[in-house]
Amino acid sequence: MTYSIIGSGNVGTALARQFARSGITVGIANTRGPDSIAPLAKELGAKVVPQTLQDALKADVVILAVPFRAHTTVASALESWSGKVVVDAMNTYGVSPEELKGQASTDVVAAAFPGAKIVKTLNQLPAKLLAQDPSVNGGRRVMFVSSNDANAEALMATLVADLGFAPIQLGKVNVGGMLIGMGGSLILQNLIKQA
Amino acid sequence: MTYAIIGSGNVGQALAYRFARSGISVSIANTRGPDSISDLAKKLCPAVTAVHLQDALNADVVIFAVPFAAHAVIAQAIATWEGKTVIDAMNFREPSLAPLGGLQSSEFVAKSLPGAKVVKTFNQLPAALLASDPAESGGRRVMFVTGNHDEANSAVADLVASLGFAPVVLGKISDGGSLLRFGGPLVLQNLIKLGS
Repeated sequence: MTYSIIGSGNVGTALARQFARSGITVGIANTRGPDSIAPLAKELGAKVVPQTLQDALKADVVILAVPFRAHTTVASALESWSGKVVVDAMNTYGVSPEELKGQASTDVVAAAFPGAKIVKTLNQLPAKLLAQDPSVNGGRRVMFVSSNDANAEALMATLVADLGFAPIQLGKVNVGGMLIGMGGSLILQNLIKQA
Repeated sequence: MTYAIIGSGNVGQALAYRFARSGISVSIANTRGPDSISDLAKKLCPAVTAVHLQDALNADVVIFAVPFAAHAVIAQAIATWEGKTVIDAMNFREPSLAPLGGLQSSEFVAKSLPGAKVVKTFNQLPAALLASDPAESGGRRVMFVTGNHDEANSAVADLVASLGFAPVVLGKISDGGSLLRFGGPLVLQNLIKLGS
């Protein structure tokens, strides 16, 4: 399984840090090119590989860590998303419900990535907390996972666990995804699952 | 606001402990009468008072801590549930909701309590953990709350906080209720909430 992070802002950087800490190789790309990410990759070591956007999109699992509206640009950069898992780590700051046409934001993303299995996770913590070691006081920080595709959800729960978090699978987007969406009751919760 | 726990099994006792530790008065009743609960009440006095079922049902907030099937018996024991908040601390321990007509168990309970505002909480931890101090590792143990009446959800969340837990309100039964069903992803999770 190959992974890439699209976006090198606060969330993308926090995620790169977790991959590096866990020893899992990940590509990272943005629209400005790999040179702009070289200093971060140098800091985090060999597991974090700066790539061109095109190369990063070859990964089996593509993690969207860009501002919400930028997902359409990423979507159009690849001819077919068939068979890929796309992780929606975005939030809809400043995006009105009208713009989402009343849909869950993850469903809006899904429509832009036909053929991909969309999983919402890694979106729900402030970047600073997301970057921290998820091992706390003998427990692990909770990361909720939601998807309409049960297999992809389970797969990403495993990744989340490999990154050191305690995954909790909330199931379908119309229930679980709403709770970890903007204004939902499970977003921005610093929860530690006890062993 | 007056509170009553119906049921003196593991869950009812665990809740009585928490009320006593938090210094919040609560009455407790079962179908066998107050004498059967006198030992517990003695241990947890003065906060916990053993009473008759009828007296317990006078409380503003009635907590159902009985086996699921017994809720129907409690429902018949009072003429009207109008204006009361009922906390559903029960679990419907079957993998399928078909026997409930496909309803979430709290919705099924609500049908037998016309006029009551039903809130589901206290159902999701093993009794021993429910009874233990929710302050742990610099945070507080999470207690999820869900119900179809926002005001009742808020009031119950306040109670949950007063008992020392970190309440997380999941909204309506259609939003959060299915996550708190028996076998659901938020049941039997020992979560400590850190920070504010």
